[in-house]
Amino acid sequence: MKVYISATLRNYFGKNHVIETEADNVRSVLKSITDEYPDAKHILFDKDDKLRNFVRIYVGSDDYTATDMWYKQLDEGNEVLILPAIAGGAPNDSIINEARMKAQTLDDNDIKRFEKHLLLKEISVKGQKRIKAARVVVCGAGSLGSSVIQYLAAAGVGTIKVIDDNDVSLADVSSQVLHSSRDVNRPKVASVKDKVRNINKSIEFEAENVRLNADNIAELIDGYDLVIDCTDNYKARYMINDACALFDIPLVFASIYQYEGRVGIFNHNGGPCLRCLYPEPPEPGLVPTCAEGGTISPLAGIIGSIQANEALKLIIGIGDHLDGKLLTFDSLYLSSRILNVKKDSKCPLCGLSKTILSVEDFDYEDFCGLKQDESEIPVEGLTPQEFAKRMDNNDPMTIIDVREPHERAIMRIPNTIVIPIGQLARRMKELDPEVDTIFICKSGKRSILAINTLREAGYEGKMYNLKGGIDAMKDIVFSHEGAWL
Amino acid sequence: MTSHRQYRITPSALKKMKEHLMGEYPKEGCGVLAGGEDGSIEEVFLIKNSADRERSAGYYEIDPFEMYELEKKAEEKGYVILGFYHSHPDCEAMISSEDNEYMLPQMLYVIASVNNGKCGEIRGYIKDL
Repeated sequence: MKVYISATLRNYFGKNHVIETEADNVRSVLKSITDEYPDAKHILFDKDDKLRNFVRIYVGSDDYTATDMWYKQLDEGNEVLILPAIAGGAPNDSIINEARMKAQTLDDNDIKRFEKHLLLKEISVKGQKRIKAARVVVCGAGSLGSSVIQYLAAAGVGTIKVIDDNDVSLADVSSQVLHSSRDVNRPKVASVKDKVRNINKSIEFEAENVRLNADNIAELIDGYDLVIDCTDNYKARYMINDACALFDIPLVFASIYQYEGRVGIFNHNGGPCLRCLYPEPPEPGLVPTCAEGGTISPLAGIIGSIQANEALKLIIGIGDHLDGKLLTFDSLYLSSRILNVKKDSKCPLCGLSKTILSVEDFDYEDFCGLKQDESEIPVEGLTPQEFAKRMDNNDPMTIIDVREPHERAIMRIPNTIVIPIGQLARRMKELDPEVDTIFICKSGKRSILAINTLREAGYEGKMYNLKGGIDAMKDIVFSHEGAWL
Repeated sequence: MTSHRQYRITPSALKKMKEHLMGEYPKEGCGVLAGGEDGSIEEVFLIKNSADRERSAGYYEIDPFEMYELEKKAEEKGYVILGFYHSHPDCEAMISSEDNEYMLPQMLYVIASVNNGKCGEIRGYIKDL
């Protein structure tokens, strides 16, 4: 069999362009030619005996580079081609151009303050000037935002805008480390402003105590270099992603849930967007919303720090980053993976035929199927007071709790039957159609879904939804305290 | 081990290379350097960057079969392949980590910095394994 050696590799094969061999598969071809020309072995293979990146093997016009093709039987008449893969690229571009970098100066104070950055040859003065020139928007000053904002400020990002319309609550303090107990009831952005000023007074800090919506998002992010999504809900995430794609601003995305976090970069250099990755949100009822899900406190610190690190690398223009990739990190079992995210040519936002041309205030409840279809029979609800009264009176009723196991640790209601939504239709026989059935969940939304699911399955008994869920029961006082035991 | 080789490029080949790379701007352009065994670059072959359109601002790729055809063409004309050239649009003419990963040993890699459509600094690199 003939083996053709590319001119670019011929020096290692005694300048021969064709080598004859009796081998009958790629594996033995490679062995026989490297036995004959030992120098070539180090060129084709690395220290771990893996074929080097720049080598491509073809049989005729078929690509045989992957090792699983190497044992395929070849005919005497086949020609094996050893060709080079020639590729390369410009160094990672910074999102801050040369002119803006040059317009910055570092004073004596900066030189002292950023000494650790200046020591790194990849950052040095040029990188630090780019950081100073950067204008970054952080959406959300919660748990992810806490670490992102602190690191951006500490690293010397020149302009930081933070958008959040919430006040600090006591529950926030356990994971949103930027806010302290004395900040409770203050607007989050006010608390952030103080912290940023304590870190570095010369940072241009812009506080936006507003809720992002389709009307204000353009004005809030247009003209900035980078947006960092630290929000906790699908509505905001899709809106931010859409706006970033439309205004051509790279986006550092992250989300956390319980023990797991994800980070990725979207809309960068023509790369994929969030909609390329998740064309549709998860099935309703499958995933409790973030507010219901809970997270372990340091997770946001880990994931937020990765977000800040990615943001700085984009600004300086160094390293590999998560453009077109999604990093997943499991803090419970300490495993992490990097998944590739492909650009979807059918993406409605950034694909070949775009259907999303402006940011729209879409109805997330409708988007997720949580909203009731108006053609459906309305679900009858009980207020917490009505429900409590029935309990006090010992009225005959079946109570179905559709919460997840970990959620049920908070406020157990006696004599309830626990049925996850997914099992409802199958376990319909456990319900007595002669007795009223009351469905409860954390906030009164998944319980509506449960009632609709049973209706579809053909259940004909009377069903009620506990309005506002367990959350709304907190202020109810029962006539006898034992009711809660 | 470091190679000490001298390369020379003819004015017409240099002009052809620069014009090609400036014409490709803002995309990254690439091609092949060919000439004599003694390191004299006499001809450059323009190559279509086969990286997909949206990535080609910062990336180049040469199809192995296009390379195969080109090798034959160069040989017919009595040239040997000496190396490759490509541009770094709006970037320094420094080897990038991506370049390094795919560099063929003993081949000359010429990188030209093209800023705002104008060809700036040109540098050559050779990798030893």
